[in-house]
Amino acid sequence: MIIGRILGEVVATRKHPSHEGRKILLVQPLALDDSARGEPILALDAVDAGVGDRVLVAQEGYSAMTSVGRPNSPIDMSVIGVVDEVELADER
Amino acid sequence: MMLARVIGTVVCTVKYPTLEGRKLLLLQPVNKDGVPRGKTLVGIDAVGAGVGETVYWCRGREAALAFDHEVVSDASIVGIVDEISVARVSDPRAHDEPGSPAATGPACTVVGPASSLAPPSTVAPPSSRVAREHPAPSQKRGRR
Repeated sequence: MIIGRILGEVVATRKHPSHEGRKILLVQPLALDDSARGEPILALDAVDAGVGDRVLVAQEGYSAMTSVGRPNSPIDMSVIGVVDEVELADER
Repeated sequence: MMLARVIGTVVCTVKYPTLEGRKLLLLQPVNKDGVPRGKTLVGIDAVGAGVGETVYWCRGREAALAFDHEVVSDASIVGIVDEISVARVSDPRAHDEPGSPAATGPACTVVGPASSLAPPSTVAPPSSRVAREHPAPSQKRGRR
């Protein structure tokens, strides 16, 4: 999984039937200092997350499709948690 | 899933039988502003997409699940993007927009319709973007 920030939503009228009824979230992957890391990705919403939230994103098919309740469907990423806090051990 | 623009088609006369009748499209991955990012690839169409459209696609084993039969695909187009709405949140570190003004409440820019994402030169300047109602992160409803 990775941590990301929800930037917005994508609207698509024509899409695979398994994606109906789920938000398509635009998620910016984050580094540990909360800076952007790489390009935004699209993930289906499994936890009712919203714009601005820092979230946990599954990037593998089985977990993604299971979490949104659509097994055997073309879903490779989903938002599976809203991050409250990341505590980094002090290694100095 | 990732965003891409359809930039062409691919024709294969000789192909694996389950690919018969499937449309092979050339995809250029793009970022949320429609700017090309990364290498082009070939994807199999599951939604009736065409050249010039902005789409989102799925990769890996899951890509083959976009079809009823065992289509051999590791990249499938699973949606046609109408619109991308990007909200301005108060944390500028979450964005790749250096120099963007500080957030001033529930502002939201709608980047779209998707067709306007096409060439980067046609992306509307921020001043002409349509403001749309969107809950600000601080005013959101309680979570379950």
